[in-house]
Amino acid sequence: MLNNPKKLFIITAVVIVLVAVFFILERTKISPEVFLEASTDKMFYESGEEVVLSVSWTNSGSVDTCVSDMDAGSIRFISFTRDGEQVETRSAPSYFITSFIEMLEVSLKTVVPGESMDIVMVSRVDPGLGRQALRTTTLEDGRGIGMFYDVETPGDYNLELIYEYPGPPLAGCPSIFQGATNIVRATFTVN
Amino acid sequence: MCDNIKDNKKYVFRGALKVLLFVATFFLWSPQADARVTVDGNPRFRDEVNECLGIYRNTPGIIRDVIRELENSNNEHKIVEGNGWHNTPNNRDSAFDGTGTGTVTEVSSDRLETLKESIGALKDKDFCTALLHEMWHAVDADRGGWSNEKIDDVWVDEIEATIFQNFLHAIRGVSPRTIYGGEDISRHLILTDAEREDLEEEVEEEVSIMVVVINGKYYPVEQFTRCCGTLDACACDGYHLHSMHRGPVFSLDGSSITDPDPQGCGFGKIEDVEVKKIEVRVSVLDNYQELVQ
Repeated sequence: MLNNPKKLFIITAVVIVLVAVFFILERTKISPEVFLEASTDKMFYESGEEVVLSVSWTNSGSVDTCVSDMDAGSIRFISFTRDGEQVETRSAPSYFITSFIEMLEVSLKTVVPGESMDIVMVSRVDPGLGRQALRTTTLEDGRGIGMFYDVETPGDYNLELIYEYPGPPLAGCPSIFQGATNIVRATFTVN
Repeated sequence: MCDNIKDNKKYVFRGALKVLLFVATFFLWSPQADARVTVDGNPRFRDEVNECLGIYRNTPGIIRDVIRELENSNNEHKIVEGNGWHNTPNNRDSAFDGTGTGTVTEVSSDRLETLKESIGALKDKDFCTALLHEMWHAVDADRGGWSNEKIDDVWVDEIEATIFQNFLHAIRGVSPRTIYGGEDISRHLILTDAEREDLEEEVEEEVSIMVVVINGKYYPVEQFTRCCGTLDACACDGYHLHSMHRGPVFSLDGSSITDPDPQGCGFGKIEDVEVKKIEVRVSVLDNYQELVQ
């Protein structure tokens, strides 16, 4: 059969068409998409003043998506500098009202396309650093680890953050956004 | 299987022992003027926290003892309003290595109600119970007793905190908590009858005494005498307190002070001196009596 050039041509053409259709379907496959935004309430703060960072993640895709309704675990600072240098940080484990993994699990909420989850992160005095600090929490070996970032020392601050859900799936959430969002930048000055 | 049972017994014993050891530490308790538990939040939040601590501060038992230990610690323990519902040490290493550290506890009654809708194991937790669960972590950090050990995928520290929480459940007449983080931990929460009786006996051995409060320390009143205002030889224009035998007076923690003004108003005029009734453990009183004999 393969000796017949006409038939060989038709088979090759069919295979090429099938492969092309497969790649087109893959590219157009519907997947959840989330877009992150962040800003501080002021451009300038006095040293010791609370820094307020508003963060929102929006379902920018075309299907219902589950995202976390808390910043703990999901918001990560990938860069946090003052005058170009890494700010002082400290870390410490936390015990939560239930396991941190369960806290993450129940934090998942469904957002419809175009809907946002809005969170306000407010610095407070961290006795460990002895200064105003913004806090994030990461999941490590089933434990929530708090990371504190100094935002009291005067200088020009530049931070970059992402949203990424690190917890387990939840039965009621078939479509969880588990990748990393876009990187967003916020800047402010402490005098 | 046998090894697992041994391990479980070891942890249950360790948890119970830690709770019992805590009772022993109460014997070293001495009240100070500066409260080391601070509350930061709006007035409603502060009232909620203070009401909770107020209820159990004077209720004999381990919960009172934990509150008092925190209030008399050298480390500051802050309770702040926030949605986190967590307890975090001020110094990571000191929480684990026996040195001890202060903590920050972030709690919110509104957030608790939201969490209760999703987490069945929290259904019997009111704000005060949940707060005091975190206070166990605070006192554990204060002693530097945090652990990195897990059993059945649950941190041993959380099993201890749940044992502590269940004392509160018993007082409130609600079922003990047996689930943590979705895991059944019921078999790790069991105290033997003997351990429970020991604990209850320790907790109940108390007597009421009257004390004079000086610089936050408690001095039994029997060591003082009231002098007669203008009729005595002292240069003092009112009733006042002197040492009964003109020697030092001893506080319940064993420290002593001498009469600061033996020719004048002594330890102060009656209206300026705080005298109150307190509950004190028999062994603390025994130690004091040995000291003054």
